[in-house]
Amino acid sequence: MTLMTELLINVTNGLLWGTVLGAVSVGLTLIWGVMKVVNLAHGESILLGSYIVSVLLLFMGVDPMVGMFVALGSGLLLGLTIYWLNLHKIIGHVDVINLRIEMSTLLEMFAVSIILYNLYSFFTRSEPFGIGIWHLGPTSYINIGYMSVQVNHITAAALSLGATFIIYQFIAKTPTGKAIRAVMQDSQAAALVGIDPVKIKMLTTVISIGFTAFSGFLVILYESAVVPSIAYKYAPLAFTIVVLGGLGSIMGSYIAGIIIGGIYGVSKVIFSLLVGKNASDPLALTTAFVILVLTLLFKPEGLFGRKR
Amino acid sequence: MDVLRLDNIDAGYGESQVLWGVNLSVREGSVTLLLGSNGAGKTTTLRTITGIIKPWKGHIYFMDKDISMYPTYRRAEDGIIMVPEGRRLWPDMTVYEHLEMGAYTKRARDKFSDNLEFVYQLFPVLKVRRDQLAGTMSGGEQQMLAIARAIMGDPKILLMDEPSLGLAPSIVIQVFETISQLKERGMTILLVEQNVHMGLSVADYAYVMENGRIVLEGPSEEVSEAELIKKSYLGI
Repeated sequence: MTLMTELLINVTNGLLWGTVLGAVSVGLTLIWGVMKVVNLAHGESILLGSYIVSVLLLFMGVDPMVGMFVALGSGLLLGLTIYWLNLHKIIGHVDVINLRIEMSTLLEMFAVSIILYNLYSFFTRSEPFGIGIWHLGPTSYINIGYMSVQVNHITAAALSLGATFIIYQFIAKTPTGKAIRAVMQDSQAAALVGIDPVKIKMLTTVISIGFTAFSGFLVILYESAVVPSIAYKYAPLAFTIVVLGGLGSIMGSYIAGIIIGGIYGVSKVIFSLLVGKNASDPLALTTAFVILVLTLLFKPEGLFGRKR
Repeated sequence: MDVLRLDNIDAGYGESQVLWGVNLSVREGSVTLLLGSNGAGKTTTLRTITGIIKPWKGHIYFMDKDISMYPTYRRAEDGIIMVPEGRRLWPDMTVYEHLEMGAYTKRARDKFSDNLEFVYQLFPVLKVRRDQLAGTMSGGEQQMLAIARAIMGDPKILLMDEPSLGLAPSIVIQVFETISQLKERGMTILLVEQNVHMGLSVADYAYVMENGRIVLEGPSEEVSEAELIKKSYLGI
């Protein structure tokens, strides 16, 4: 296999994975960018969706294409619970969210993260758990020219694109979406026109965690099986992507996700030449965090964020 | 009939009291002016009326209903709409989105097209700039948008907090022309202004505030003749 072919294959796979990363980051950019809730339980919210789809398939034979809606629903419920149990007393007011409040949400969500993580570990005994060889259609691989791509990866990319388009349109076009943006930009001005900022914050939490759990379905499509520690792979990547895309920007996060996926593909090829195939994966992931440092140094508002 | 009545209001921030027994009422269809120097408590009065802060003591009546403990958004639903100090627009939202959000409440949504037509007639520039982001407009245009957003809320009482602050003289004149037009249309307005001359010329009734207390009130012709006003504000 020539270097060129290898590069093409890795970049294609990287970009496909990037669409999953993008969708995984959209929920975080909403909760963090709009409400200043530093959701340290983001990885665990993703895993909820992954586990729901898997449990439904393995124990009840529910098709994952149906299961994904249950994943979404369970995420909405988790969001509702987290809002009333953990966040309402911190962010449930009209005033502007300051850094002290932001740090309180961080600690609060850290607690949620530990609880969920240990629940997952307890119930799965930390063993891989997933949808195995389930795939859409008769074959699990399709050949595109020089390479073969997993059907599940293409399904994940298509669903991620569709879901992100829907939530983007929701925020851009619907009255509720506009109210969310108004509360994000000036919640007091929003209250003065008759928007209830507390209700909007609750709704945004619910939508954000719901979408995140849905993206957990895309993760399980990509990974086939998950262990609880995969939260520590996806959550930091999501934080990086949200910063790169610009806090609060859905389109920015999605595009940044695809960019990070593409860069991962390229750096994987480079590192496999330098240090061999086995060591290349963690090094390629490290590239993402080098990009985080560079973004914070040279473009702290992100690619699509507003200069403040 | 009084649209709004403040009955013996005490209010403040944290430990420090700003308002001391404020009594104030606004008659339907009138322009009422609230005068006072910086730190006299004018903005705090408006914030108490809109519910951004809650009164420590006393009652606020709107259409004879006690609204003292209503949250801000409920008061907007009832028709208490404010043009806040410093405009407080949403910088990343377009002009048209501001007008849509101004009419967020059910009551205002029902009159959306009428109010939109009126707003475009008042400020034709907003129709031309409908797709522009508010953050990229000039100060004068932003003030017009802030007033337009409030009108879209179909106010039963319009509170205006220093609408002429920081604007070029020609724009200030335009803002006061707008206030006269709103008055002609029968809108009830409570105006807070530092520009005493302009304020008194458009107002029917005026209150003067000092150190969080109302020290003088009366029809604006009488108030403009008062010694206190001549000395402290008009420099005569």
